Amino acid sequence: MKEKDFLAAYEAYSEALFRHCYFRIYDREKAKDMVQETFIRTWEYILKGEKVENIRAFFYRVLNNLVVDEIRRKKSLSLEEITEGGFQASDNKVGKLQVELGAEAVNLMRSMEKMEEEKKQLLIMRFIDGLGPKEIASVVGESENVISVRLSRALKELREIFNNG
Amino acid sequence: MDNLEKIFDKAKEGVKLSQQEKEKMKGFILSVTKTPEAPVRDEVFERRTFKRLLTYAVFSFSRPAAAFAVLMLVIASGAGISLAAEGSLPGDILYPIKIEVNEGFREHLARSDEAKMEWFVSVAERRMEETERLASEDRLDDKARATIEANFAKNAEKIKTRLSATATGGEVKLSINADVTSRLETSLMAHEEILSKLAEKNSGSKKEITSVLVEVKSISKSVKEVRKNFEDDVFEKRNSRLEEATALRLKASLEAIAEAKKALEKSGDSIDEEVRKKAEEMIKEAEEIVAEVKLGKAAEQEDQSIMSLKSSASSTTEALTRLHEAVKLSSQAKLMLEAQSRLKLKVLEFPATSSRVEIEEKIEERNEEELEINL
Repeated sequence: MKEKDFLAAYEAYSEALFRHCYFRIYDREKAKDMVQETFIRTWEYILKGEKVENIRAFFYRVLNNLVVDEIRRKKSLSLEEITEGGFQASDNKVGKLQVELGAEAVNLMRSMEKMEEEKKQLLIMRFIDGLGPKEIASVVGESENVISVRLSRALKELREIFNNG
Repeated sequence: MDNLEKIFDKAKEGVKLSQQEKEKMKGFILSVTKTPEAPVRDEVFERRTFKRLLTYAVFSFSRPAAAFAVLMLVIASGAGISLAAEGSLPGDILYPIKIEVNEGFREHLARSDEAKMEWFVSVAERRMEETERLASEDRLDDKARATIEANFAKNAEKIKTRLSATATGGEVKLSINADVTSRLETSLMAHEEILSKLAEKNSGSKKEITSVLVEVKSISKSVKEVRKNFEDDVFEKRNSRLEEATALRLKASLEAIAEAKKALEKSGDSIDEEVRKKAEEMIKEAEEIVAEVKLGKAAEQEDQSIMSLKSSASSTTEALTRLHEAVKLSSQAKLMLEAQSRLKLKVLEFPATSSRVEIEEKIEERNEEELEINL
């Protein structure tokens, strides 16, 4: 892959990847770092001579690994902590989150926080990133059918939590 | 579903990447990938480090002159120099910064007993790594050796003092006995092997490497003693803190395994197949030991009979020893991979006891000297 193709991929996917990461860890700066890292690692992989079939799926896979590592490291970064001022005053996350996303969205995020990370990943890929089941399947490495089933179950669970929580 | 989708869309709207941010990131990615050898400038790290460094420099009352010099240097260049100094070796211009500023600063940062011990372990490892790197590049001359040895010995003293708290009637923290000594001992042993191999390979630096090795073996022996005494003590007294000790050693094993796995990941495809396979095997074995111990613990907890109470002490000591083995395997695997990638040195096994006669003799000599001085 030539550099200009890689840069084209950057233009196409960087924002989406950033958004995905943000909705997993709710830290803007960290999300930027991770997306940066994702692109760097991918490019180094390509420079080594490796072939990448589906670069978008590859990006999401690398990013997901970074996210999972970060989450394991920090245990859990719950939305509760953020919105209830668990962060220092210098972090404007507390006020900004409400302003940027709106109260309903924050509630939706809160509901998602109560779900397993894998389910969260699926929902974010589907409804925030706009990936179809086929594309999600290539990221996760499962068949399209399995993904469709998991997605509808996850959505059902989310709806329940959202409406009752 | 419509309702939720709308909310998702709204949430999505609130999170954007500005064109400026995008360009900045792109620039950074390109700069890093264009020059893979250049040190990576981590802006966030630099910003934070700069602040802390400034505070440290300003409040280093004990060495006002040095503090002032550091302050000037830091103001002039930002924390970039500090970061760049991390990779320096004795003989490099930035080496004094690595030692005085970076390491002094980090020692200052470590407050608790555990943090301090862990830091001293890191310092020991840094000196050994420097020795190895210099030796593999044939740059280990007498001057460099002397610098490294002096620092290593000073650090070893600090470690010994902390470990001998029991001698003065104090109690060495359980976490240090169970966790840190295990990792320190295994790390030292693995480095010993690498240094020995380097001595064989580079006859030019053999004298210098051997000299450093003597220091390493000396502290290694002390740490091993402490660990063994601790384990014996735990067995004899059927320590009520047995559970805690095992949990701590388990934590050490898991951390060691994680580090080994990270090294495996980092090594990528350039690593020798044999080395990679061996490392994978060792990591697997370590994981199996951990699983075994966990199973054993679970079985114990279920079986509340008197029989289990009797055997639990010995089985937990066995668990402690087994976990030490796991730490050792992971430590060795990690160093095996690093030796291959950093030093182009192929190490496939770590003998149980180093039968380097001349080194053993040198240690004997040193011990005798010390005895004479003390008499």
